[in-house]
Amino acid sequence: MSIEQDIVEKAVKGDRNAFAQLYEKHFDRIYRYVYIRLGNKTETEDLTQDVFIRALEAIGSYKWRNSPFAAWLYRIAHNQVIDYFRKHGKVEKMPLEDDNVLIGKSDPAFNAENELEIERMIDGINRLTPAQRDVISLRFGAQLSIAEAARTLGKNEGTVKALQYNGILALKKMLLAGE
Amino acid sequence: MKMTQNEAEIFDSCLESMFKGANIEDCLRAYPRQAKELEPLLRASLAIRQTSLNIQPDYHFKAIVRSHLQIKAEKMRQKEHKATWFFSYYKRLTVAMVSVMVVFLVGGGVLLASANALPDESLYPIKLAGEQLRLAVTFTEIDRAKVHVQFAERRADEMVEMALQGERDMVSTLTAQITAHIGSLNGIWEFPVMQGESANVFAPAELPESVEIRTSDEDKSTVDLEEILNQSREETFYILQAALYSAPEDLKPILEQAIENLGNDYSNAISIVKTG
Repeated sequence: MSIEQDIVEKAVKGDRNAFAQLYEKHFDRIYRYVYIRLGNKTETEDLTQDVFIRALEAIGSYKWRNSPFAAWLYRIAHNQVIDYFRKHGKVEKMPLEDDNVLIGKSDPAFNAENELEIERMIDGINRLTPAQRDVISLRFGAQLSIAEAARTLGKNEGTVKALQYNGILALKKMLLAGE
Repeated sequence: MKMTQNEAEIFDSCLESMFKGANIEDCLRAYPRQAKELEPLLRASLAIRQTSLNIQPDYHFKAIVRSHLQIKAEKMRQKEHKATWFFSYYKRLTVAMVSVMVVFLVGGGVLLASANALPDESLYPIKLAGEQLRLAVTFTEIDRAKVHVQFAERRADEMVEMALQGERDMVSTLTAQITAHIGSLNGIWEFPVMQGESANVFAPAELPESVEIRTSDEDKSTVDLEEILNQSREETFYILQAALYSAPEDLKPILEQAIENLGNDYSNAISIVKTG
């Protein structure tokens, strides 16, 4: 049994410290994934919180069953994002808010440059096909492995690799064109 | 640039190495023939990775959510504690009723013994009858939905077991029962079954190409069963996705878990059928 599996087993049995460990490990990654999809700080915060509340409510019924915990958790996040767009009747392409999501704000010039890069990246990702967007945001935002991303999206690994390749190819062209 | 599966594999292999600390040059040396195409893509990937990592949640917000979760966990614990107390309070009453229940235990014992029966075993019809009884005495809509989901998951477990035993007809029958149980949710509360990519997000990939080149009867039978499993999985997930969208909040975690569990069982069954 891996260390994470052991922690998950404890969390499933109601160990709050174990759940807290999972929270610490995945919070930033979930936040990044949601931010890339929504491009809006306030709504990203609300949705990230919802993901963990949903996970806390459901963790008791989680079964490992050859499926990594990350795939289960990011599927909740993925469903929340889909739900968000359905409920708000928005297309998955939104103007970015003028809000700062960077840590370490001591150098305004450095931060401004990074903010611009983030904005360009999210704008580029929003122009990808929905399937490429899913894969790129899970691989680069949530830092999931190919296997975990495939599990999360219910696709096979070969398909995910192809979507990743084509997504990066398209993004590279867009980012170069924007320079 | 036309992409082949091989290029996607090589690209991902390099990406994984770089995520683990290797540099671009190492990767390009490993694939000299693809180096020219790979280099700009890998550099773009690293830039995107770095930009993504610059997105960080606000420290205070993270602390607030942590605090909300602790409060929520405590409330859940208290609720569970109350339930335990409730059962303790009525323990003596339960003991008093035991003598009455003994009468039913003989019949109940058979029902209990059938709990783990598989479709090819003699007690299996009793298990199904017990399930019908349980559905008949489940009155709230949410509870009925939960029971249907639970029974669908049971059928899926049995489907994997029957696939392992090579009981192909039973696998096929069980897929229909899974879809029927999940389809029953639409009778409990109405929801439109959606079409399109978002609804299909957990639906299976297309049938493998090998479907078209198998010719023998045995292989045809395998393909047929694969098709049945794939179609059943697709249909089940369409309904589950639609149900999830409009389900009561209490039910959503259960439906999400069902998507996970059924997905694994279908994958396992398909894999077993493929490998014979």
